[in-house]
Amino acid sequence: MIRAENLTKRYDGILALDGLTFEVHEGELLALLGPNGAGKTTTLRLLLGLISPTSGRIWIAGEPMTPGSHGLRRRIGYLPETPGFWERLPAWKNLEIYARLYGVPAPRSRVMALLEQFGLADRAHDPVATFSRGMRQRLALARALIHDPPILLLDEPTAGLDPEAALEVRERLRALKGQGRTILLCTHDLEEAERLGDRVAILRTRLLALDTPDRLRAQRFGVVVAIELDGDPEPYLPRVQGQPGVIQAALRNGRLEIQVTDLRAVTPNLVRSLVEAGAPILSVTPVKASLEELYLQIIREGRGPGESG
Amino acid sequence: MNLHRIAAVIDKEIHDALRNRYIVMLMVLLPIVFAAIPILSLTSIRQIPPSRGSSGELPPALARRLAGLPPQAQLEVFLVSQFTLLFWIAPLAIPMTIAAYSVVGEKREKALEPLLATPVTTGELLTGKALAAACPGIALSWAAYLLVVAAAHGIRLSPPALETLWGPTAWVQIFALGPLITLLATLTGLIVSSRVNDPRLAEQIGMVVILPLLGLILAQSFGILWLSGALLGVIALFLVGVDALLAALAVALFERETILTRWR
Ligand SMILES: Nc1ncnc2c1ncn2[C@@H]1O[C@H](COP(=O)(O)OP(=O)(O)O)[C@@H](O)[C@H]1O
Ligand SMILES: [Mg+2]
Repeated sequence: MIRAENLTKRYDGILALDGLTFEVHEGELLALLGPNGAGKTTTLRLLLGLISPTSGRIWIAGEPMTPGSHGLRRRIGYLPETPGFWERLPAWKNLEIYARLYGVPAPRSRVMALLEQFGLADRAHDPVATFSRGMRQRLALARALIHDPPILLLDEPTAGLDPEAALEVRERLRALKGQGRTILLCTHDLEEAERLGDRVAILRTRLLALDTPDRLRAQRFGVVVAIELDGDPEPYLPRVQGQPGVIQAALRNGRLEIQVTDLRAVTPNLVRSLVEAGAPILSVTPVKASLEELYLQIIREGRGPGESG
Repeated sequence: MNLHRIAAVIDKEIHDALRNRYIVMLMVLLPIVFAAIPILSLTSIRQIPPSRGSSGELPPALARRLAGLPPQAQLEVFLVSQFTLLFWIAPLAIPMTIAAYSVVGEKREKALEPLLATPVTTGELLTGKALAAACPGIALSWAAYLLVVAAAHGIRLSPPALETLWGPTAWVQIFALGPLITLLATLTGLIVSSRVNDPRLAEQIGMVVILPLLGLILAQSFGILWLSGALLGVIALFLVGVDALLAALAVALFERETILTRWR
């Protein structure tokens, strides 16, 4: 549905995006994860043809996207980083103008239905200037959906919202995902990326990783087993570290956390060896590395020479 | 060009303008002022004793054309032709203000990014903005003109003066030159507005358009030049050309990428 090939963007010589190639499949939600300044917004603007790439090519639904592809924009709903409403106009009017620009039939009733759906019907006639951040974000989401587009590009939809408002927006995104839309979701919220994303792309000027969260974890950390002992586990640490198939072992939370190449092949031998050494084992549990660890590691590796922070 | 999208842009602009107190105030006050000035002056010269109205004070070209008319009628014709010139300027202030705020305002609200992400083309967007800015001012100036015509009949202006006020030469000025000049000022305002971030600057640069017009009015009142039908026709043609050029320039200078990424 969305395909970017070797996208590079420079602003006045500043490299904002370097050779980005990726694809978002039909009906998939791809979370584009990256720190501030990673090039997420730049990527979305390029995909919409709002700015032109320094080099590289883009296809939306099989058609090349250029700044002149006005008709192609009808396939895309866009939630920009800042919602950007006409503040003095009432909420319904903001949406109605967009409905007409997208050529939606019966714009007025479509607008009212969406406002109802997004819990804004009672504020429909108030100027957007009087809206809270959470309300604005819901309104922006409603606007992105006004023409019922098959593709959604969402730029940090929950950034700056209080937890309750963020949760509500996330619930709506989950519902949208269930409707078979193709969604590219930019975020710097790891949990959001993991919970909503079918796949996660980690971006920092260059694409550092792109896969399902589980597979990324497996590739990076192998698998981790936590072994809990009755008593101090420290004396057993050197023994564990010497076992075949163990990548790395450490004490964490009073347990032995052992990174292994393969859960099934390594764990039984590991446990046998500990039992032989007289370790009082209470429990053996496979654990998932947090996406946070994964992300931080990938981002650190991806940092170019001379960069800091 | 898609008319529905242009209509949507116009709708937005008009709604936005009507929520700007300054613009609404201009919309109410300007037609009143532009109707009141001619009506009051024409009424007051009717009070002057006929002997005082001397054709010696008229520009020579006009005095020659009007030779044979009573002095009072001569003065009235002269004043009416000056006031018709006023209606070149009358529709300008409101459009300039709307145009100046329209792009800068949207840049400030960051409302351009989602707007440019829709299928609207730059041509449609600017056409909508230009029409929305120009039309109310033009309509109001026409209303003011019709008020003046009605009042002129009411105070029984001399027939030659009435003919000057309500005749082909006046119509060309009010219904062709007025809108063409307004469009020119509006396009200038839009161009500047898309390149700067201060609406007042856009407004001021657009107002520069008025200077040559004031020059024309002064030239006529000092008798340096007489705006005959032929001269008006030439001016109208010239304005059509300039407007077309400015419209093309406005579209070319509206660089979407620059506006989105470099206005901060
Ligand atoms: N208009 C601009 N002019 C110059 N540099 C820019 C501009 N917009 C973004 N950048 C730079 O490009 C990089 C990527 O920015 P952006 O796409 O906004 O990242 P993100 O959305 O991931 O925070 C950053 O280094 C940023 O400073
Ligand atoms: Mg961003």
